[in-house]
Amino acid sequence: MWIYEKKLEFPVRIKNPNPQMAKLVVTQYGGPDGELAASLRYLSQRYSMPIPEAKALLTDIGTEELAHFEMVGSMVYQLMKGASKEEIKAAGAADYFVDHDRGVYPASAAGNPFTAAYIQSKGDPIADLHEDLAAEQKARATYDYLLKMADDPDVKEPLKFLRQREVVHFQRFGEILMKVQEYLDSKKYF
Amino acid sequence: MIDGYSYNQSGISRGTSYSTSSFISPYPANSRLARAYFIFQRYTKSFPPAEALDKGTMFPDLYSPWPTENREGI
Amino acid sequence: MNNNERAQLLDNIRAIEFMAVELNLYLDTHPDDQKALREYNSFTKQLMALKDEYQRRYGPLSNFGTACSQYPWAWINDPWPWELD
Repeated sequence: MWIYEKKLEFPVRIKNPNPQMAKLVVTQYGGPDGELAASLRYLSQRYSMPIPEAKALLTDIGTEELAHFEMVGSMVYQLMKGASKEEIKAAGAADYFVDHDRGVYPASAAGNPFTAAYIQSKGDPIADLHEDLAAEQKARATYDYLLKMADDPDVKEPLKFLRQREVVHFQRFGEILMKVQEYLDSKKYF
Repeated sequence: MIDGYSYNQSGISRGTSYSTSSFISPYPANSRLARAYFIFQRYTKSFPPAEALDKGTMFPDLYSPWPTENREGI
Repeated sequence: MNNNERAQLLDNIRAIEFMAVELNLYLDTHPDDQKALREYNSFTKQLMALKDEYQRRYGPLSNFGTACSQYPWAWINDPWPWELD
């Protein structure tokens, strides 16, 4: 079960609206390598994990990704908030605006709505963990690209935090892969 | 067993060629083909809390500041 | 001012909770690391005390029975995390 805590894991305090940046950042909200994809992936895969450490890790990282999902949503919200109609049009964000106003909607930067096709839950722990390793790298790379596109330090700080978290998660998935492999090896020689 | 791999953990720098006799493998003794291996982190040092939050990790070993000079990987 | 103190306390909670999250993930893959476990428990106790103090003054930080509320029901109060944190 999930309990919600009324605070962000890392603060998001964006003082200047930027609809163009909002359209890009939203890709980590509802895009292929974003935080929603990550949480659903890990929280769905955890059911098939064979050892307690893996069930715990997938649950915990999946939960942390929900906290990141919240951070990115807050970024999109603050980047759109207070932006005028003209600023939105000039930023090329009018198409987002007509469907969502200044609201937050899970889609990619290209405007594709979120889909479970972005994730897999193969039920095979080895396959699933390799997918998770790839997912963390893709997310880290996406943050690299977003950081290149951003100028505002208020935007860069949370993006840098989120990027570093992917690096840590990657290491944890690698470690749990070792443990799962060791367990599966030991079962073979029964 | 997992935590104490009996192999040499020293990194191998890129672009150096080795003669097979002096090559020290970073992989565990009974490693196999068609599988991935990861080194376990060993926790020794930590950043203090406020700095850890700011950097995105408490572990200096895992800290990877942006911008990165090397485009590939972390 | 009151708001500054509140922000300070919340930032403190954020930092300590982050240590707990990091150690939690580390312990999931290193369940036998005694030093990490000691630190996790220590940060957890510290976090509980900080949250108690925050919640006493500013209302509940979490819902569904994990924290008590003043009257009237303070859980609903602004600001919400995406507005000002």
